[in-house]
Amino acid sequence: MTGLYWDRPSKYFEGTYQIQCASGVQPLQLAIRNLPGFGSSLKRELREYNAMHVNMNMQGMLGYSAKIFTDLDPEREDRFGVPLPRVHLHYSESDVAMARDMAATCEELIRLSGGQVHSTPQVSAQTLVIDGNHWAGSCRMGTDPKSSVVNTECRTHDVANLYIGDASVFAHYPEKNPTLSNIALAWRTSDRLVERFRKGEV
Amino acid sequence: MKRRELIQIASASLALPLHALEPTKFFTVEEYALLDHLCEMILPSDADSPGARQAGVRRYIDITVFHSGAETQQRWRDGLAAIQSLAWNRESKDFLALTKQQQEAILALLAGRESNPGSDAEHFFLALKRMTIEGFFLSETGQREWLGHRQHTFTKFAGCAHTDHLVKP
Repeated sequence: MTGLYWDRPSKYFEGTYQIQCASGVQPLQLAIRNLPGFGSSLKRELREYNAMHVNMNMQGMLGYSAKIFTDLDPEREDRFGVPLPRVHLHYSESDVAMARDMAATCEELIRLSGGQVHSTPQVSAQTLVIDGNHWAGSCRMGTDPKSSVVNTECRTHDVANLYIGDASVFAHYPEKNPTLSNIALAWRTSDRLVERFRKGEV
Repeated sequence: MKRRELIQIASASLALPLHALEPTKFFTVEEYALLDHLCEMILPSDADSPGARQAGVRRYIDITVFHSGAETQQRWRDGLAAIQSLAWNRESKDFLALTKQQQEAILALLAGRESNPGSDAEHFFLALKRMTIEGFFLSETGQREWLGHRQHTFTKFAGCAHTDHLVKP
């Protein structure tokens, strides 16, 4: 479970990840995945298993990589003639190793909780299953205008008075949900903006 | 006997009479009666609690499909037709005109392929089951009388009492 702790780095991958556990009323998932048939027996079983469903979500850090970027599609356009964005995603060996560790941690947690593991996913770069994303990093923060869009104050390198205030300025993706960092960045950006406005620089 | 007459006889004996159902947004009267009947078969009213019919799950599906794209709408229309085809192929009758045993045999056939659906009817059964459960689960009947949630009230949400956490103006 090394990846769970920032102060216990893994030998096999960089960064950390988090687990989000949830349980809830999800008769639909149960019915589709586990409860076959129809009629009174289905109705009874649906209620029996209601709210007994637990799920674990693993959220991993995605490190900075020149192979992960967004560009404009040279051919495809939307209906206004604006080129469509293309998202290039790449999983390094470290990312795959982290995903393997995530699966192993989940198994360990299930066993420690007294559960039984019925199947284990085979993790590879090709089979990395992502069922949810927090979009981030399309206008990376950085000091070099060649490899980043905004400077460390969230102000764009190219346009002097343009500030960007959302998760697109993340230089890499952390293993946490982005909202609090977004708020912190927006707060800081507004402060700087007010400061510069008072000085008459904006 | 004409098909329409069959439906009327069948719905009078097995399902609710056609005129007893509310007006629809998407389905035809015939489709709606079949839909209602299938929903009730999937989650029936029994000694324990009311089922999909009393919860009005057909309305949930009608409204949802009405607001869906043309492709989804066509799938629902074709799906109901596929159920009818099965009934006609096996028993040369409308689904609603079959006996309870015959109807259950057809549904059991589809349910047997849930993990690996192939035909349109098999895919439709999954979609129908999914929507039936969803609609029933989200209905007041489902929540109160099936799951037994009787108190739909919010928990008291007392504010933080720590004075040092108060934001000073």
